[in-house]
Amino acid sequence: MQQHNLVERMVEHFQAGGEIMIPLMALSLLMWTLALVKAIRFLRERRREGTPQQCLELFRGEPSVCKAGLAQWQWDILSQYMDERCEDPELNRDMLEAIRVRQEFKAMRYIGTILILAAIAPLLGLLGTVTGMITTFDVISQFGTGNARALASGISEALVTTQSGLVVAVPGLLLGGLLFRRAERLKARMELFCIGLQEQTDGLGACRE
Amino acid sequence: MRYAIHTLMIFTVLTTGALAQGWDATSKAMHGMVAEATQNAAKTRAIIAGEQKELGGEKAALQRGIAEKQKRFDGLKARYDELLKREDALKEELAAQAHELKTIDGTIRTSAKQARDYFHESLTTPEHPERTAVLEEVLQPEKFPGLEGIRNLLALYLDEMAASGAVVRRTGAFIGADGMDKTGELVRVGTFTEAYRLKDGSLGFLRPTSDGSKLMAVQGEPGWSLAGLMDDFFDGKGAAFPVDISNGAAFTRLAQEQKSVWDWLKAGGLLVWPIILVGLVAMGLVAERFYALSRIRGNSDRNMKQILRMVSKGEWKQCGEFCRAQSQFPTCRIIGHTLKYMGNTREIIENAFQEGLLKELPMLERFLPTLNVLAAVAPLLGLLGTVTGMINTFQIITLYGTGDPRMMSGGISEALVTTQLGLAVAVPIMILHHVLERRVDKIIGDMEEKGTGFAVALMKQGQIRKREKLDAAA
Repeated sequence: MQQHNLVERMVEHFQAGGEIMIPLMALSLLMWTLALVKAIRFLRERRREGTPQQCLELFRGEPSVCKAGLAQWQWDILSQYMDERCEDPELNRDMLEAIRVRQEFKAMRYIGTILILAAIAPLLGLLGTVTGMITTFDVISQFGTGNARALASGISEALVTTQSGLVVAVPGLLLGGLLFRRAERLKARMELFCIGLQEQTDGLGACRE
Repeated sequence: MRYAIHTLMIFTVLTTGALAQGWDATSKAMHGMVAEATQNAAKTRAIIAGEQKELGGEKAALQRGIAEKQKRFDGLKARYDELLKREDALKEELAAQAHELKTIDGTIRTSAKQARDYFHESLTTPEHPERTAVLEEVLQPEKFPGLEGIRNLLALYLDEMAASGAVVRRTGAFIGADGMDKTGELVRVGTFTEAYRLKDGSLGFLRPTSDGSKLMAVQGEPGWSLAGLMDDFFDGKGAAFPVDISNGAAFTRLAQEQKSVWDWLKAGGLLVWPIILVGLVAMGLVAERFYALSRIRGNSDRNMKQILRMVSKGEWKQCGEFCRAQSQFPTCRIIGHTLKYMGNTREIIENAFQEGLLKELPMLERFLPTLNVLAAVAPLLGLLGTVTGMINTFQIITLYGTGDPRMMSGGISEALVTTQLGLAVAVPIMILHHVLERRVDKIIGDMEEKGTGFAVALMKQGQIRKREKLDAAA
């Protein structure tokens, strides 16, 4: 019963915000989905990360075991690098960098989107405010200021959308910032991993082929 | 009588003289005559006395009659005066009552007129067409409505009162939004709201026509949430029904809310046009970018595989031709450009590749900064419109004061519409710019990777000379 009331009240609140609430809701859902997906992926990858030596050892073993035992980015870098590397260490470094850039791009994936969505949410809220105020002034031009009830619907539209925009934006910005810092740290780890990888492999001297 | 007696005496004397014979006889005769005359006189006197007496009685009787009549007359006069007085009193009373009656008459007619006006706007009148006849009877100008009329009028009001507390479902006719006669399910909630549902499922609200005899559909569709509620109610599933307690004003707003985009834009004033221009330019640029980038993305992986295969086989000519043939892909263009520097040191090849990449970059990133600027400019223009509108509003306030909020609404709507439009234009541009930027970043990353892959392939093929070798050759 309590829960039912809560849902009903939320639906009422949602309806009080007017049409802007629909894109705002969609935006919020998208943002949270991306953030959760990203966070889960970060956490899972972090647990499976290994040092370059461990990775190389795993890589020399069974590929399927290796793939399951490594973080996705480590597997990607390793498999691509080991496939394509040659005897020129400088060229190898460049290639490793290109591969790393691609992985870095993957690490940053969605974070920009989350931040952009969080930045757009207050704009949408503002749009709702303006729309609500327009409704309010339409009402004023028809009934004058006497009809407080009619005024209230426009004003509640204005306020509910602003509120929702901010409610969506603030956690979005926090989450985005959190994920961004994590991605930066991941990028640093990738760089370290690549350096370690090259030291290990070029220390071995010969190509795999 | 006396005259008659003298005449008789003289006649007698003369007669006796003429005869002149015996005075005795004559005297006797005379005595007899005198006695007779005296007797006659006495008789006459008696008669006269009797007559006098009779006349006196008669006179007394008459006088008595006169007195009696006079008395009666006096009584009647008093009564007449009394009646006159009463008449005056009654007349006064009559005048007072006529005034009261006139007031009552006026009150009834006024209330009948009010009833007519009210029932013309009432939703219940089409259900009771007999009302008009009743009202017309009460409203006849020369006839006093009478108790019957008053009772009828009261009954109408009571009916209306009862109807205002009832929810009625029926099937009835009305004039549709397109002006055609329609028949559908009707629901009347009190005297506030009447709504219809047609067989094809279309929903709408009804208002009485100007003479109140028929129902007419209100222009404008109810929104999806309202329509859901109404459908549930018509199906008997829901107990909630939207009601317009403002007596029709909200329904007119319903139609007004669906006023055209053009009206909306006109309310925004002059600054709407630059904002729209910004939006159109941005949309054009976005469309161009999406088209160009979607062509680039195509199948660069497949192309690269082919190139690498050719390189590994050492088919340089075919590779160059392939790159020229696929020159719509920037990766192929860059590799084609790099191919020309084959056989040089790694640095030169890398530089060639970087050069190719730098040449491609402006093409890829073209318009993206412009889009960014446009996304920033649109809300600023909206803000400018806000300020302009507020300035207009305050000018109106200085001219006319704040008495009538309607006067101010022009400037305010200008302020709000421009803000709204500015935001509405900026938000999609921001999102699309972000998407495009991501796509360009991805393409650049892809190209860099392909480039290194190509360099490695060249290296493996031995087409990159080691610097030592080159130095040795030099």
